[in-house]
Amino acid sequence: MKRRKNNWLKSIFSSLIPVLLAFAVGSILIMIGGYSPIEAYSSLFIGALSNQNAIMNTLFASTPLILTGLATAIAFKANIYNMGVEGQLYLGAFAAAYLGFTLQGMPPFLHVAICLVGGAFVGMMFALVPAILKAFWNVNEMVVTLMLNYAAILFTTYLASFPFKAPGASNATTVDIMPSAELPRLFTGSQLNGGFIVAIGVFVLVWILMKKMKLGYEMNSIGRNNEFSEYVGMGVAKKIILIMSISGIVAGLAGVGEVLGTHRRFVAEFSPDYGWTGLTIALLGKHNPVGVLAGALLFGILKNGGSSMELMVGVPRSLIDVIQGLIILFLAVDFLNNQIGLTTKLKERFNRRKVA
Amino acid sequence: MAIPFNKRVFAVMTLILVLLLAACSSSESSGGSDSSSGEKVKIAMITSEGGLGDRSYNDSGNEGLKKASDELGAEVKVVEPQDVSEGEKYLTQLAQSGFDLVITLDLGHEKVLKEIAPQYPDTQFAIFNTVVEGDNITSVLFHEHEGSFLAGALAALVTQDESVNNLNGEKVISFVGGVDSPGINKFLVGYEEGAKHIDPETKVIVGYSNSFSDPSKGKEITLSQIEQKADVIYQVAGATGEGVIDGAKTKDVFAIGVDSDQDYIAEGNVLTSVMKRVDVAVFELSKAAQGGSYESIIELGLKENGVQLSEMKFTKDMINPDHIAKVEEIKEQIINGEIEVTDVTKQ
Repeated sequence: MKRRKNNWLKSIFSSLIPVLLAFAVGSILIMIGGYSPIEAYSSLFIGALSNQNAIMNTLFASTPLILTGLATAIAFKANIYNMGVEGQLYLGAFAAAYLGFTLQGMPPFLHVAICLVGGAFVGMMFALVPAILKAFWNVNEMVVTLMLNYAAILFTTYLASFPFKAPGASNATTVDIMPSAELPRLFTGSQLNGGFIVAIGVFVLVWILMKKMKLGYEMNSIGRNNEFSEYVGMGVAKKIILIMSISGIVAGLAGVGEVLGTHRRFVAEFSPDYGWTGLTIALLGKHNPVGVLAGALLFGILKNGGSSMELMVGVPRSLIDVIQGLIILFLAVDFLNNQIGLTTKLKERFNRRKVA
Repeated sequence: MAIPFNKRVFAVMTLILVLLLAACSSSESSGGSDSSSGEKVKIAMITSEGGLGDRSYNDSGNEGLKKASDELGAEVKVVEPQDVSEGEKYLTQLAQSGFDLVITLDLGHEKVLKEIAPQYPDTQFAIFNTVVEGDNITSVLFHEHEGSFLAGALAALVTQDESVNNLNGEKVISFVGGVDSPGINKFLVGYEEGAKHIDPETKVIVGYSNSFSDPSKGKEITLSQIEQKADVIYQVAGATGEGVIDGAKTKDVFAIGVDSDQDYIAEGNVLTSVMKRVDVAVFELSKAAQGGSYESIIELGLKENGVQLSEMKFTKDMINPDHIAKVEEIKEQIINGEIEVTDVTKQ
């Protein structure tokens, strides 16, 4: 029991290190720019958390990231590298928009539900392509999902530019969805909307799935040792398909939430790399749903507070991108360390050389 | 959308550069703004996607803002949203922070602006390239069709010339647009009308790249248009246009640049550029802010110097001076209303 607790602390600590290092390097950059890091960071957190409205907006910024983070974590936990969350998100988003503006005269609750199911379904179908290739022919899912992102993004851009372009629009967007399909805002004065409730609901389900259900155990087992899992009769191929499908559903829902809650129509290339940020968050959260939730909130704070920092202190907004980039960099070091034992290998090499 | 690592590494590099530059100039900029005159007018500008450093639209707006700061003593602020959904937050925050004038360069803010502006009646808002109605909203429109008319006229004159570059003397010119939309066709129709004004037999080949960020596709379309005897190619396609200019350079014919002065991108192969003076517009808005009275629509054409051809630094001496004189004459005729150019967005 005690050991378990220690492990918990250890993993929280190892997640915090990249974040703290990134902030430290960021503060050097702020100083070079002639600003005060303390002032900049405090305005960042004040802007993101100081009052009810600010907190609501932070949660709003976190909403898609919770979902993309979870989508990535589910697959990565089983050592399935679903890098296609961004693409699945786009297709889910477009499906939701399509259902949102074509179906008419629906009761609001039902219409939203249909859009959610439709978007999730399309996200799942798209994730099935690499899943089946991986499960039956052992095609590298990383390559397939990565490449399919382009297909998905370009395809939805095409749809929004030609067949479904809103008449007279000067950029590639569809017409607005019906009011009955909108996820309503939760409070006035903030963009926080029903999408957040969807995200929290998905979080609870994923937590139950990963922590309390057999499939969660199997995910862990497949992630740790694929062959062993097959040998003890887990039916790895089927499980890969199942896990990827769930990942695709969650990614699709991330897109649905953005369309129904934020944009209220499909806007071509609307996502500022939500899928990729979700990947960072999944790594930061160690593929643990609670860790992902915490990571998504942190990135929400960075996004929402970034504008206050820009307004109040004058530090360019790009600093937030830099901090996110640095977190990825420091995580990558950690990741390589775990995957291939980078530091151990370097040490060995060094020692061998000393002997020779 | 693209590979995130590359993008982030690039962001890191750019920021370091920017901060270093800022460090070098910070003493000077902080000194400039404290010439307090009691009540300075406060102006904020929201960039469109891409942000500062695009060597075009956003940077041009920033120039205007700097000028407002220097010449009018305005207190200015530029903010760069990460994505279009942040428009609402920025518009609200800026209005709440007491800015007198909030300018957005992002067309995507059209919808939220309509909802937010009435909530802050003491703040004036401005948006570009579209009309949003509201008591405290100024819409800025450019007469791109007028500038394009001049470009078309010049192209039709030059294409008959066999003496410069690799021109074939045939009456064929072309156009590469980003997408087939009213906003882009406004340029095209002006260009066509300008060409036909010179010689009704001029043929204009039209192509769309369906992307504003694909230079290789731009080049491909350009090369195929040159195959079809086009030798002056007008690009209205954002970053795709870099490929158009590159294609024209490869075959040693002429491209025509857009938005900002792009003549320098391929010296001697960019005939001229149809410049949209976002800086002029931002400065005009700032002046209005200082005076405290705004118009609901500002239209900037050749007359207001809001749209103009570049000075043709590298090509002026290559082409027949009569052509340039003719274009000047047409410009005067447009300004005094003798020639009327069709604006397709108003039909």
